[in-house]
Amino acid sequence: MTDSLAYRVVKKLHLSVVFLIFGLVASPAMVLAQDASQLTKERCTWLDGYIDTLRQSDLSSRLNRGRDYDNISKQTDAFAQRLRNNHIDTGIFDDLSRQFTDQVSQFRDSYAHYDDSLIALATVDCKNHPDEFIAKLEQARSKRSEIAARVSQIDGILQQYREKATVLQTQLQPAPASQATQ
Amino acid sequence: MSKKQLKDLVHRARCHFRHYKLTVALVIAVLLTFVLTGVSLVIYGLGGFSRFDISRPGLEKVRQSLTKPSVEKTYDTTSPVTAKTVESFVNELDDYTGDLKKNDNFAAPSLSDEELQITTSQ
Repeated sequence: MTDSLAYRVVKKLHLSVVFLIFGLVASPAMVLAQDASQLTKERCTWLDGYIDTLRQSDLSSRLNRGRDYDNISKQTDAFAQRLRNNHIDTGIFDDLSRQFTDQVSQFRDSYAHYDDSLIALATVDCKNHPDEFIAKLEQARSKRSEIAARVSQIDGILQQYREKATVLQTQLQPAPASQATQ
Repeated sequence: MSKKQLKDLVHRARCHFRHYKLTVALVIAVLLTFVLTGVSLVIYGLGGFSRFDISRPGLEKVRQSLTKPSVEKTYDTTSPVTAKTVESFVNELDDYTGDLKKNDNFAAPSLSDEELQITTSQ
Protein backbone atom coordinates (compact mmCIF):
# COMPACT_ATOMS: atom_id res chain seq x y z
CA MET A 1 0.00 0.00 0.00
CA THR A 2 2.72 2.43 1.06
CA ASP A 3 4.81 1.22 -1.81
CA SER A 4 2.11 2.03 -4.31
CA LEU A 5 1.61 5.50 -2.71
CA ALA A 6 5.31 6.19 -2.93
CA TYR A 7 5.31 4.92 -6.49
CA ARG A 8 2.45 7.26 -7.42
CA VAL A 9 4.20 10.26 -5.81
CA VAL A 10 7.41 9.49 -7.66
CA LYS A 11 5.49 9.00 -10.91
CA LYS A 12 3.75 12.37 -10.50
CA LEU A 13 7.02 14.07 -9.65
CA HIS A 14 8.65 12.44 -12.64
CA LEU A 15 5.89 13.63 -14.96
CA SER A 16 6.11 17.14 -13.52
CA VAL A 17 9.84 17.22 -14.19
CA VAL A 18 9.28 15.99 -17.76
CA PHE A 19 6.66 18.67 -18.41
CA LEU A 20 8.87 21.33 -16.82
CA ILE A 21 11.83 20.42 -19.03
CA PHE A 22 9.64 20.29 -22.14
CA GLY A 23 8.22 23.71 -21.25
CA LEU A 24 11.65 25.20 -20.73
CA VAL A 25 13.00 23.86 -24.02
CA ALA A 26 10.00 24.11 -26.31
CA SER A 27 8.43 27.38 -25.23
CA PRO A 28 11.20 29.78 -26.29
CA ALA A 29 11.42 28.08 -29.70
CA MET A 30 7.65 28.31 -30.23
CA VAL A 31 7.56 31.91 -29.01
CA LEU A 32 10.49 32.74 -31.31
CA ALA A 33 8.77 31.18 -34.34
CA GLN A 34 5.59 33.12 -33.54
CA ASP A 35 7.64 36.28 -33.01
CA ALA A 36 9.40 35.89 -36.36
CA SER A 37 6.12 35.40 -38.24
CA GLN A 38 4.50 38.31 -36.43
CA LEU A 39 7.48 40.63 -36.98
CA THR A 40 7.66 39.64 -40.65
CA LYS A 41 3.97 40.47 -41.08
CA GLU A 42 4.38 43.81 -39.33
CA ARG A 43 7.52 44.81 -41.23
CA CYS A 44 6.41 43.39 -44.59
CA THR A 45 6.25 46.65 -46.53
CA TRP A 46 9.61 47.77 -45.18
CA LEU A 47 11.15 44.36 -45.96
CA ASP A 48 9.97 44.55 -49.58
CA GLY A 49 11.63 47.94 -50.01
CA TYR A 50 14.80 46.77 -48.27
CA ILE A 51 15.16 43.71 -50.51
CA ASP A 52 14.66 45.85 -53.61
CA THR A 53 17.36 48.31 -52.48
CA LEU A 54 19.70 45.46 -51.54
CA ARG A 55 19.21 43.86 -54.97
CA GLN A 56 20.22 47.11 -56.64
CA SER A 57 23.32 47.66 -54.49
CA ASP A 58 24.35 44.01 -54.98
CA LEU A 59 23.92 44.36 -58.75
CA SER A 60 26.22 47.38 -58.66
CA SER A 61 28.86 45.42 -56.69
CA ARG A 62 28.51 42.47 -59.04
CA LEU A 63 29.00 44.62 -62.15
CA ASN A 64 31.96 46.52 -60.69
CA ARG A 65 33.61 43.33 -59.49
CA GLY A 66 32.94 41.55 -62.79
CA ARG A 67 34.56 44.36 -64.76
CA ASP A 68 37.60 44.47 -62.46
CA TYR A 69 37.99 40.69 -62.67
CA ASP A 70 37.89 40.91 -66.47
CA ASN A 71 40.55 43.64 -66.44
CA ILE A 72 42.76 41.64 -64.07
CA SER A 73 42.37 38.57 -66.26
CA LYS A 74 43.49 40.51 -69.34
CA GLN A 75 46.41 42.02 -67.44
CA THR A 76 47.67 38.72 -65.98
CA ASP A 77 47.28 36.93 -69.34
CA ALA A 78 49.39 39.59 -71.05
CA PHE A 79 51.96 39.45 -68.24
CA ALA A 80 52.27 35.66 -68.50
CA GLN A 81 52.55 35.92 -72.28
CA ARG A 82 55.37 38.44 -71.95
CA LEU A 83 57.18 36.16 -69.48
CA ARG A 84 56.81 33.21 -71.89
CA ASN A 85 58.15 35.29 -74.77
CA ASN A 86 61.19 36.03 -72.59
CA HIS A 87 61.65 32.31 -71.73
CA ILE A 88 60.78 32.81 -68.06
CA ASP A 89 59.00 29.94 -66.31
CA THR A 90 55.28 30.83 -65.93
CA GLY A 91 54.12 27.58 -64.30
CA ILE A 92 53.05 29.10 -61.01
CA PHE A 93 51.43 32.13 -62.72
CA ASP A 94 49.52 29.90 -65.14
CA ASP A 95 48.31 27.76 -62.25
CA LEU A 96 47.10 30.81 -60.32
CA SER A 97 45.45 32.22 -63.47
CA ARG A 98 43.55 28.98 -63.94
CA GLN A 99 42.36 29.06 -60.34
CA PHE A 100 41.38 32.71 -60.74
CA THR A 101 39.34 32.04 -63.90
CA ASP A 102 37.63 29.09 -62.25
CA GLN A 103 36.73 31.05 -59.12
CA VAL A 104 35.48 34.05 -61.13
CA SER A 105 33.25 31.72 -63.12
CA GLN A 106 31.90 30.27 -59.86
CA PHE A 107 31.43 33.80 -58.53
CA ARG A 108 29.26 34.66 -61.55
CA ASP A 109 27.20 31.48 -61.14
CA SER A 110 26.80 32.04 -57.40
CA TYR A 111 25.60 35.59 -58.02
CA ALA A 112 23.00 34.37 -60.55
CA HIS A 113 21.69 31.84 -58.00
CA TYR A 114 21.67 34.47 -55.25
CA ASP A 115 19.82 36.96 -57.45
CA ASP A 116 17.25 34.28 -58.31
CA SER A 117 16.77 33.61 -54.58
CA LEU A 118 16.25 37.36 -53.95
CA ILE A 119 13.67 37.49 -56.75
CA ALA A 120 11.92 34.46 -55.21
CA LEU A 121 12.03 36.20 -51.81
CA ALA A 122 10.59 39.41 -53.22
CA THR A 123 7.69 37.58 -54.84
CA VAL A 124 6.52 36.02 -51.54
CA ASP A 125 3.55 37.77 -49.98
CA CYS A 126 5.13 38.25 -46.54
CA LYS A 127 1.92 39.59 -45.02
CA ASN A 128 -0.04 36.43 -45.69
CA HIS A 129 2.79 33.88 -45.90
CA PRO A 130 5.45 34.99 -43.37
CA ASP A 131 6.74 31.44 -42.81
CA GLU A 132 7.36 30.96 -46.52
CA PHE A 133 9.16 34.32 -46.54
CA ILE A 134 11.42 33.20 -43.67
CA ALA A 135 12.23 29.93 -45.47
CA LYS A 136 13.17 31.80 -48.67
CA LEU A 137 15.18 34.28 -46.61
CA GLU A 138 17.29 31.40 -45.25
CA GLN A 139 17.96 30.25 -48.83
CA ALA A 140 18.98 33.76 -49.88
CA ARG A 141 21.34 34.01 -46.89
CA SER A 142 22.97 30.74 -47.82
CA LYS A 143 23.44 31.85 -51.47
CA ARG A 144 24.87 35.17 -50.33
CA SER A 145 27.43 33.44 -48.11
CA GLU A 146 28.46 31.33 -51.15
CA ILE A 147 29.33 34.51 -53.05
CA ALA A 148 31.26 35.83 -50.04
CA ALA A 149 33.28 32.59 -50.02
CA ARG A 150 34.06 32.96 -53.75
CA VAL A 151 35.13 36.59 -53.28
CA SER A 152 37.40 35.60 -50.41
CA GLN A 153 38.97 32.82 -52.54
CA ILE A 154 39.58 35.25 -55.41
CA ASP A 155 41.19 37.78 -53.05
CA GLY A 156 43.49 35.04 -51.77
CA ILE A 157 44.54 34.04 -55.32
CA LEU A 158 45.26 37.65 -56.26
CA GLN A 159 47.33 38.04 -53.11
CA GLN A 160 49.36 34.94 -54.04
CA TYR A 161 49.80 36.24 -57.60
CA ARG A 162 51.10 39.52 -56.24
CA GLU A 163 53.54 37.77 -53.90
CA LYS A 164 54.93 35.60 -56.73
CA ALA A 165 55.30 38.66 -58.96
CA THR A 166 57.16 40.49 -56.19
CA VAL A 167 59.53 37.52 -55.83
CA LEU A 168 60.19 37.64 -59.58
CA GLN A 169 60.77 41.38 -59.36
CA THR A 170 63.42 40.79 -56.67
CA GLN A 171 65.08 38.11 -58.83
CA LEU A 172 65.22 40.50 -61.78
CA GLN A 173 66.71 43.36 -59.74
CA PRO A 174 70.15 44.25 -61.14
CA ALA A 175 72.98 43.47 -58.74
CA PRO A 176 74.25 46.53 -56.81
CA ALA A 177 77.23 48.32 -58.41
CA SER A 178 79.64 47.38 -55.57
CA GLN A 179 78.89 43.66 -56.04
CA ALA A 180 79.09 43.89 -59.81
CA THR A 181 82.61 45.30 -59.69
CA GLN A 182 83.88 42.59 -57.30
CA MET B 1 -12.04 17.57 -106.45
CA SER B 2 -11.18 17.29 -110.11
CA LYS B 3 -8.01 18.59 -111.69
CA LYS B 4 -9.91 21.43 -113.37
CA GLN B 5 -11.51 22.51 -110.10
CA LEU B 6 -8.12 22.55 -108.36
CA LYS B 7 -6.68 24.61 -111.19
CA ASP B 8 -9.59 27.01 -110.86
CA LEU B 9 -9.05 27.34 -107.12
CA VAL B 10 -5.36 28.13 -107.55
CA HIS B 11 -6.16 30.64 -110.27
CA ARG B 12 -8.73 32.37 -108.07
CA ALA B 13 -6.31 32.46 -105.11
CA ARG B 14 -3.67 33.99 -107.35
CA CYS B 15 -6.07 36.67 -108.55
CA HIS B 16 -7.15 37.34 -105.00
CA PHE B 17 -3.52 37.71 -103.86
CA ARG B 18 -2.71 40.05 -106.77
CA HIS B 19 -5.68 42.18 -105.83
CA TYR B 20 -4.75 42.43 -102.11
CA LYS B 21 -0.98 42.19 -102.61
CA LEU B 22 -0.05 45.14 -100.38
CA THR B 23 -2.41 44.18 -97.55
CA VAL B 24 -1.14 40.58 -97.48
CA ALA B 25 2.48 41.75 -97.50
CA LEU B 26 1.78 44.12 -94.61
CA VAL B 27 0.05 41.42 -92.56
CA ILE B 28 2.99 39.04 -93.14
CA ALA B 29 5.47 41.75 -92.16
CA VAL B 30 3.58 42.54 -88.95
CA LEU B 31 3.30 38.86 -88.01
CA LEU B 32 7.00 38.33 -88.66
CA THR B 33 7.82 41.34 -86.45
CA PHE B 34 5.77 39.86 -83.61
CA VAL B 35 7.50 36.50 -83.93
CA LEU B 36 11.01 38.00 -84.04
CA THR B 37 10.27 40.32 -81.09
CA GLY B 38 8.97 37.34 -79.12
CA VAL B 39 12.11 35.34 -79.87
CA SER B 40 14.30 38.29 -78.81
CA LEU B 41 12.42 38.67 -75.53
CA VAL B 42 12.75 34.97 -74.79
CA ILE B 43 16.52 35.13 -75.40
CA TYR B 44 16.74 38.33 -73.30
CA GLY B 45 14.91 36.70 -70.39
CA LEU B 46 16.22 33.14 -70.47
CA GLY B 47 19.78 34.08 -71.44
CA GLY B 48 20.20 36.09 -68.23
CA PHE B 49 20.74 39.35 -70.12
CA SER B 50 17.85 41.04 -68.33
CA ARG B 51 19.61 40.51 -64.99
CA PHE B 52 22.46 42.84 -65.93
CA ASP B 53 20.52 45.29 -68.08
CA ILE B 54 20.94 48.49 -66.10
CA SER B 55 19.21 50.60 -68.75
CA ARG B 56 15.90 49.41 -67.30
CA PRO B 57 13.81 51.99 -65.46
CA GLY B 58 14.39 52.15 -61.71
CA LEU B 59 18.09 51.32 -61.95
CA GLU B 60 19.36 54.92 -62.11
CA LYS B 61 21.30 54.50 -58.85
CA VAL B 62 23.04 51.39 -60.17
CA ARG B 63 24.06 53.26 -63.33
CA GLN B 64 25.55 56.05 -61.22
CA SER B 65 27.35 53.66 -58.90
CA LEU B 66 29.39 52.02 -61.65
CA THR B 67 32.85 53.21 -60.69
CA LYS B 68 34.65 53.36 -64.05
CA PRO B 69 33.74 52.76 -67.67
CA SER B 70 35.30 49.68 -69.25
CA VAL B 71 38.48 50.59 -71.11
CA GLU B 72 40.09 48.44 -73.77
CA LYS B 73 43.74 48.35 -72.82
CA THR B 74 46.56 46.82 -74.82
CA TYR B 75 49.64 45.32 -73.22
CA ASP B 76 53.14 44.89 -74.54
CA THR B 77 53.83 41.16 -74.61
CA THR B 78 57.08 41.06 -76.55
CA SER B 79 59.56 43.50 -74.94
CA PRO B 80 62.16 42.21 -72.46
CA VAL B 81 61.06 41.73 -68.86
CA THR B 82 62.86 43.82 -66.26
CA ALA B 83 62.31 44.52 -62.56
CA LYS B 84 60.66 47.79 -63.65
CA THR B 85 58.21 45.88 -65.87
CA VAL B 86 57.17 43.63 -62.98
CA GLU B 87 56.93 46.64 -60.68
CA SER B 88 54.49 48.41 -63.01
CA PHE B 89 52.51 45.15 -63.31
CA VAL B 90 52.27 44.88 -59.51
CA ASN B 91 51.25 48.56 -59.25
CA GLU B 92 48.46 48.08 -61.77
CA LEU B 93 47.33 44.92 -60.00
CA ASP B 94 47.23 46.91 -56.75
CA ASP B 95 45.03 49.52 -58.46
CA TYR B 96 42.55 46.83 -59.47
CA THR B 97 42.55 45.15 -56.06
CA GLY B 98 42.08 48.60 -54.53
CA ASP B 99 39.03 49.10 -56.76
CA LEU B 100 37.72 45.69 -55.70
CA LYS B 101 37.96 46.66 -52.03
CA LYS B 102 35.68 49.65 -52.68
CA ASN B 103 32.87 47.23 -53.57
CA ASP B 104 30.81 45.13 -51.22
CA ASN B 105 32.38 41.68 -50.78
CA PHE B 106 28.99 40.11 -49.94
CA ALA B 107 30.32 39.17 -46.49
CA ALA B 108 28.36 41.93 -44.78
CA PRO B 109 25.33 40.46 -43.01
CA SER B 110 22.84 42.43 -45.14
CA LEU B 111 20.20 39.74 -44.71
CA SER B 112 20.84 39.10 -41.05
CA ASP B 113 18.14 39.24 -38.39
CA GLU B 114 19.72 42.42 -37.03
CA GLU B 115 19.61 44.19 -40.40
CA LEU B 116 16.06 43.08 -41.13
CA GLN B 117 15.05 43.60 -37.50
CA ILE B 118 13.31 40.26 -37.29
CA THR B 119 14.30 37.12 -35.38
CA THR B 120 14.36 33.91 -37.38
CA SER B 121 17.02 31.92 -35.55
CA GLN B 122 18.01 31.19 -31.94
